[in-house]
Formats: sequence, C-alpha cells, structure tokens
Amino acid sequence: MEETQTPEPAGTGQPVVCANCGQPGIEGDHPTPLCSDCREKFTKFPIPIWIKLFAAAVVAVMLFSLYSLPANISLGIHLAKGRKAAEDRRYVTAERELKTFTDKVPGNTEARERLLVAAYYNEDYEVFSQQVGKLEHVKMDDDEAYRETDRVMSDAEVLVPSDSFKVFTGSHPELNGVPDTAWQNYFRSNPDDNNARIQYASLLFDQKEYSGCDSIMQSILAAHPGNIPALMIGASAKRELGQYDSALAYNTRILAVNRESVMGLASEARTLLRQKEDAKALGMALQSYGLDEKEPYAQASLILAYHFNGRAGDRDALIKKAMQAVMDSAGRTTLQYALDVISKKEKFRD
Amino acid sequence: MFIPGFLITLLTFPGVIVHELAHQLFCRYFKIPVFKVVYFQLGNPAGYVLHERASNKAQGILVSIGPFIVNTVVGALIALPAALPVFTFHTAGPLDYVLIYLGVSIAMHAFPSRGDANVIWEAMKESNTPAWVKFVGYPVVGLIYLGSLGSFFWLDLLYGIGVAVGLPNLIIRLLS
Repeated sequence: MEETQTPEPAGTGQPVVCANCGQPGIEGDHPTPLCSDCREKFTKFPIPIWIKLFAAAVVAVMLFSLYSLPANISLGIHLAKGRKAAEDRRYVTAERELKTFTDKVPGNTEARERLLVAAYYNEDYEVFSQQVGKLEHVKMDDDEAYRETDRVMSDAEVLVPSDSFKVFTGSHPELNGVPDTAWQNYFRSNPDDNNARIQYASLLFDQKEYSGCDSIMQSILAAHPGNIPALMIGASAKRELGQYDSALAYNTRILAVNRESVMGLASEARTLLRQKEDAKALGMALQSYGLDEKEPYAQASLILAYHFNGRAGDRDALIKKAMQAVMDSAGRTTLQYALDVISKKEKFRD
Repeated sequence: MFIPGFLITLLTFPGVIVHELAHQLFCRYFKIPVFKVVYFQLGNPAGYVLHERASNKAQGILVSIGPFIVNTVVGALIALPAALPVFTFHTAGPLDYVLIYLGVSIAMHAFPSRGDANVIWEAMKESNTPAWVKFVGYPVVGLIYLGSLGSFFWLDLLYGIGVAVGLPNLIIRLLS
C-alpha cells in the first residue's frame, strides 16, 4: 500500500517527445515529458466504476453516521453528566440527566442503577420504585454502581412496612390514638422495625414530643446513618427544641449524603431563620427552591425567608404562584404553615 | 498470537481502498499525472498509486500523507456514532458493529507506508527543496518510519481503535 513515483528521464540529447504518445510538443517543465493532451488524460486518471460505487457507499454510511451522531453525542453527554453528578453527590442533577438518558436508552443497567440511587437520595420514591421494578430481574455487574444500589436498597428497608407492622396498623387504624404502651409492646416484639420507628417518631413530632422523637431518630440513625427521612425529622425536632447547632449538624449530614438535597437545604434555611441569620437563610432557601420549584417545603421555606428578609413583594408573588400550583393535602399543610407564620397565628421565632 | 498479514489486509480491505483512493484524489487535486492505480490486491504492497514526482515539494508531502488525513477523518466519522452504543451505552445493534468494523478498518490504514516515506525522503534530499518544507518533511518521514515499525506491534490497529473509540469518549468528556 504505497505511492510510487516515476523516475525523471535522463537527458539523451534527442528532441524530447511525449512519453505516452510519442508526439512532439511537451507541456511545461515537468519530470515526465507529456504532451498537453496526455498530461490532461493522466491528471484525470479514471476512477473505475466499482471504486466510485464503493466510495458512494462509504459516503452514504458517513452521512448516516453524521445523521445519528448528534443524538448519540447528546445522550453520551447526559450519561457523563449524570455519572459525574452522582460521583459528586449532586443527586438532583444526576437524576435529571440519568432520567433523560434512560428514557432514550432503556437497556443501560448502570444508568438505571445510578438513577435508582439518585431518586432515593432525592426522596423521589415514584422514580425510585420504577427503577426497582425495572431492575428486578436484570443481571447486574458487581461494580461500584451495583454496590451503591445495594447500599441504598438496604437503607430503603426503612420505607417498607413489615408484615408485623401491617398487622399492627390493621388493628389500630388511627395511629394517632394508639396508646404509648401499645407502641412499647410492639417495639419489644419487633426491635429492628425501623419503618415503624419512623412512623412513631413522626407521630411524636406532630404531638410536639420533640425529645422523644429525637431519641427514636438516634436509634434509627445508629443502623442507617445516612437515612435522609430520619435525618430530616431529627433536624426538625432539634430546631423545635431550640438546639440549633444540633439541627445544623443534622443538616450537614443530609447535605453530605446529597449536596443537592432540596429538603436538607430548605431545613437548614429554616434553622438559620430561627437563628436570625436571615441573609444566609435566604441564600439557602433560594438554592433549595432553584433545585425544585414544585416542592412545597422549598416553596414554604423561601416564602419564610422572603418574609424575614423584608421582601414582601417577592413573598406575595411566590405565595400566589404556590397557591395556583396543584398540590396534595400534605403540600397545602406545608404551605399553610408558612402563611400562619406570616399572619402570626404560628410562632416561628422571638 | 500470530495472524498472517495478508489475512489482516483482507479483513480490512475497505481501509486499503480508501488509502489508495486518497493518494489518487490528492494527485488529481494538485494536477499530478497518475499512471497506474492498484486499489487492492492480495500481495505486498496491498495497493499502490504510480504517479509523477510532484514539482512542488509541499504538494508531494501532501500526496504522501493524504491518506493519513482522509482515512482518519472518514474512519472517525463512520465509527463515532456507533462507538457510544457499543462501548459506553452497551445497547448496540448489529448495524453499530458494522460501523465500528468499517471505521476501525479504514482508520487503521491511515498510516502512510514506507513507500510513502521514501517518496518524501527523496524529495527532501533535493537541493531545490525549500528549507521550510525540509523542516516539515524530515519529522514526517521519521514519524512514518516509526509508525511503520509500530505496525509490527499492532500500532496501526491501536490507532484505528483509538480514532474510532477514543475520540467519541474524548468529545463527550470535553463537552460534558
């Protein structure tokens, strides 16, 4: 596979004629003596039809490749950004990028594993459950993504009610009215039921039993140190107890698990508002709201931050926007709390 | 593992044809007469282009290294979109594998041959060759010889894979 050049003719003293046709009248001072017709002919040395067809096929394949290239590059960028964000524990970004990728490339197991992890840490349990279902019978490689998925699945046991707890809730349809002794008996029989503990801690929080709530959280966190729902309840309980440094320590732990935790950032903003660090709190609340504008807890936190920073115009505009958004009863309760603080029905700080 | 050279050449024949066609097209572009073209044969060399020595030394170098440019660009463009489904997404179909085969076989024949290097070397030795052309030409000859030596250690195949597989991942790393 090479190119070969013709040697230059040696001078013979004879009149120079065309090396191809023997006619006199050589064109120009070139290494090969050729008349103008022959030079023209050889500079346009014919390309055989089969080579032209081959070249056309190669060009057609190239055009097809160029057509499909932008879509694949774009998908590759989504996957790379998703992976990088997951490595950096920026799970809102990771979930967004990996969701876009898996919608177009549903067969990629690694992306689905990472999406499962991101959705879990974002407390997006709808997407989390979908990924669990889709990965159920899929063979997974024993790699870093799989190990992280395994850790998350083990942590997620806190979300799933045990059969015993289902029996317990079946016999006590109104958990609010369950006597404390019944709970104690249940935990004596089921000492490892952390889902029941979370439910019980939430009830205690609603009943303003913050110390009891916090001590239950400690026991859950001993088994699941990075469990975000437990850390969130812990942070709220400490804030209500006025132990702001402890509340912030919980928030730090949440943000160490997920640097883009919408709830973690909003919770920290509320604690800072309690400490009257209003400007810093506004920054946190804006960050949280920027990550998920539809999350009622982030909306309510930003409304409070605007309120305590004296930005009544922004506060009212956000209240109007949040009220117009479709919201479930829990969302409405969350928003109502902020409205009650503003109308001084609820005491937020001195 | 020893694999006979002719078998590799046979398997990657599209790259040989593109290589020779690139020489021919560069000659046509610079109006250099071509006297014979063998696009592919089961022999050594697997293909060649017999053409007049270029009066312009820079054009001569470009004719010699033309396939390096053409085979690299064509191989990369063909393999680029398929490399991601095959090596990154793990969701490739048969067509993706065909594109990877074509891209790698074309890119691995990008390296100029020793015959190409000899043409540049002869041109460099001539007294009327401008200094700047020599400045460019000698390193090119050196690189071609190195590449030629490296092909004994599958450097040409590694280059083909690098272009077809490494380039898309590099692009994504730069863009993400």
